[in-house]
Amino acid sequence: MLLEVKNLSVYYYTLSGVVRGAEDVSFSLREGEWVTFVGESGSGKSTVAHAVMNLVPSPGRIVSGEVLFNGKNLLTLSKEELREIRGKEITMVFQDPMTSLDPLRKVGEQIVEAMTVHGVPEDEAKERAKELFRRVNLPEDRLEYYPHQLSGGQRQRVSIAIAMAFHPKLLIADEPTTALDVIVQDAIMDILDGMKEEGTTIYFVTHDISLAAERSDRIAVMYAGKLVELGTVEQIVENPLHPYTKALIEAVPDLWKEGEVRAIPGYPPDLRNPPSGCRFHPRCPFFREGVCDAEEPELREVEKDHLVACHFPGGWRE
Amino acid sequence: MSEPLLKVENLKKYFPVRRSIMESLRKVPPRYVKAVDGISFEISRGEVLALIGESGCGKTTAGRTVLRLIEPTDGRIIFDGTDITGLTQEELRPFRRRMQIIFQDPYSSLSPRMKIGDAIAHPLLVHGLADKEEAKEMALKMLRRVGLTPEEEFYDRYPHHLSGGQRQRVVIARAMILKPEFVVADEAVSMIDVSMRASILELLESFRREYNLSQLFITHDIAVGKLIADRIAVMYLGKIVEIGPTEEVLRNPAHPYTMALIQAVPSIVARRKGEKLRITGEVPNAANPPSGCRFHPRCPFADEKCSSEEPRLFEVGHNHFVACHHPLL
Amino acid sequence: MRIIDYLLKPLRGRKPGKGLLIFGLVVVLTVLAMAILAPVISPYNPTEIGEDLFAPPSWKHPMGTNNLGQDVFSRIIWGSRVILYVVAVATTLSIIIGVPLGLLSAYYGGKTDRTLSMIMDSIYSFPSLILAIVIAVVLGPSPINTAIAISFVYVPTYFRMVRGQTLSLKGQLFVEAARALGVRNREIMRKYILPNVLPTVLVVFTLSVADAILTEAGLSFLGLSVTPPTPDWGYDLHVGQPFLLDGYWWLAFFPGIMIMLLAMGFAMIGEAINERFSLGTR
Repeated sequence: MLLEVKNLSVYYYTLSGVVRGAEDVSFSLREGEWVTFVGESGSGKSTVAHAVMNLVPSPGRIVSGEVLFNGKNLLTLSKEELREIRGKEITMVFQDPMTSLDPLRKVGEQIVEAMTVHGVPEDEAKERAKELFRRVNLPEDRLEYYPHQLSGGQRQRVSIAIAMAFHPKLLIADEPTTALDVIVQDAIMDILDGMKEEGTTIYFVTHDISLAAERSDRIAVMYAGKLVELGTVEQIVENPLHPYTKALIEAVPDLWKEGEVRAIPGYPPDLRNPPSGCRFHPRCPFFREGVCDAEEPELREVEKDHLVACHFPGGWRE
Repeated sequence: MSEPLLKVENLKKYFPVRRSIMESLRKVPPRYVKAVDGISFEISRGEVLALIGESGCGKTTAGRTVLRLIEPTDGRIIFDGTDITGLTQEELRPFRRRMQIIFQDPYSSLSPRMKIGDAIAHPLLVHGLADKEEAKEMALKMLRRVGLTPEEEFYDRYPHHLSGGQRQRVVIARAMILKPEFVVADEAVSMIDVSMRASILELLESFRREYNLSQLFITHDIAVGKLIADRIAVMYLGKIVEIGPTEEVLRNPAHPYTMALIQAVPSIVARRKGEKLRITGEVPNAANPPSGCRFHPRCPFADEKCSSEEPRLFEVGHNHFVACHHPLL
Repeated sequence: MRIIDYLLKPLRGRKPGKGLLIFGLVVVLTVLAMAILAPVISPYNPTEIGEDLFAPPSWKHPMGTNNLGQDVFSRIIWGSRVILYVVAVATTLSIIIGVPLGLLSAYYGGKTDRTLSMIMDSIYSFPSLILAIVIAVVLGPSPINTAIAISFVYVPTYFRMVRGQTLSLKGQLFVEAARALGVRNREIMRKYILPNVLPTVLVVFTLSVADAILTEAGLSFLGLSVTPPTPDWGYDLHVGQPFLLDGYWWLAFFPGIMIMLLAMGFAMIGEAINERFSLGTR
């Protein structure tokens, strides 16, 4: 197991109350696989991704849990040890590259610095920079550009180039293509695919379940801060067991799908005061009183490698 | 079929690029960003036309220009038989009642300091269609119509109390209270959570049925276009490159760009799509569009004709038009 | 009243601004009370020349007497009227002129806007005290002229603030939506832009009042405001200053500290409101 997350909980201490952004999340990632975390806004998918790198922004705090990377708990490492891992063994790509790129320096300089900071001699770094740009399909002359002179797609490629500089074991990509057009998105996904072929584990986060289905090996579905379903793509898409997963799949317009699109009634809950028991119960068409609102369902393996947190998984099949 | 409700002829919108002092001193001729460069289409009563394209293609500008929120540089806009292109703001006001717009961002579409009930009632007062009491009544009814109940409670709330999806319903309510005949929906669901998009689209659909409403639905998401549109127009760098009935265009795309778009859209159902049309590069700068066919630098089928001669729209199927020298059909 | 409601809201939260706000409110309200109740609470006639010159603070004269035997405490109480009056008039004038100008200029833009901005920026870049002095000298010493001079200095502050806000609001979608609905320009400015600008005006108001107080004190220090024997903090400070070396500290100290406290009080209220508004609206 490359990455093991155990009972991770992240709370945000805001002025209006404590927001339970992620609650008791556990999962593991194997080497060389592509896992996508799917969920809507407020589901906690981004929170968990940031927590894995111990990068939760204030007022958020990791209140419990372990993040074991190759056996080492990232949450208890010293700043030095963490710095060695971050940028080399685990790298991250965000939705808005403008926040991770320095607007005042040329992108070539930034990618070189990302390497020299970890001890790579400058000329070697410069050569690698050119090579990395080739890998992400950016013309070499762009090395001399400033971030604002590049398009969104190009900036994202630069971010990825920086992220691949040390051939990381794990790449965490948090909605990297959400702000991009569909053709560019496809090209970026191809680049990430290439990284996966070379052995990098891809930890992808998106709200778009179609995107998740296209490239992942496994999908993890998050709702209101909890991990509600985890399985292979085939299992999730062809045999979803959690009512939310099923509803999500049916709510998404799809070019190749005939048949109706159905919205999910209701609204995501306020995480300062989440519903009792199963957090999805107020919106669940299969809600059963006394059970679903009383007890929180555990994440359980229902078939091989397919985990669900539901009292009546797949209940509609009767 | 009677006259179309909306007829757009050769619409253009050029934005001047600001020249530096040096450039104006040296009398360098001004450059223009040709955001919309001669598009034409018609929409009949009760019909939905989806305008599809990536960012920078000019679709958003086109939507606003049709409503004259941006002044067109050239071309004509004919609404219900009247040429509204050159009307003054005052002459345009009665038309504003009949043509509305729904924006993408539910967060900034509403004034933070106006109660949402008042925001919905306000258009009625502006056009003198009701007095204060009546307007409030109608606003309450509209709140119920869009599913924001209990409506008395929602009336007094401010936008920051509502979620994105709820705000978008308010925006729709505000647009629909005037019973318009035509609506421009500019990426109306792009900023809404995926699970709620269908319900917003359903809401628009219900208004379409009730008012026989025509829509120009602007979006980058073809899947949404497929869901609600009768016809699709694909825009690239200021021009319409393909236009036709939704089923037709999606099943038999004629333009390579359309094909590339369709193949790039992620899908749960068609997961591994096999060999894809390889197009390279990114959308070029609209201030400096490529010569001839604007798509030629990225097109795998481009030849000399494509780089020198601009293709014009011609019919390739029933009511299906494409602007390409080597269409896929 | 809505304004008081806004002001008191931070008191209910757990914010660090609470202390600031309380202090500010206490000071300002005390001075306000002083000014209103002056005839009632002033122990002596502030202009009455007495026999007991340079008396140090005591039970009889809590703040001592000055070089003319006048009771300093009474002069402080009555002096609050002048300073509040001048600053109130000046600020009101500044707002009445600066806010609409900023709104209209930004909304309509064009040459007028550019010209007006240039003018306002020039006035703004002038050191406020010097500008006020020049105008006061030209107009002649009197409280009302002081008020005009000060208002002139602060018009650009309001203008720039409101203009900046209007420019950014102008581009907001809800303004465009209003235009699409057919709302006329005047109504857009009144119903859609102005309400969104007012909170900022409130913050600017409290902060510029703090500044105006110091400017007024400066002007009256130089004798450009009231004429003696009217009690005035700045003037009394000016009179009392040479006596510091002789050890008669209370003539200058009390007016000086009152000026400082009042300015600080307003500044703190302004800070607290600023904090509240940047956090309050999500």
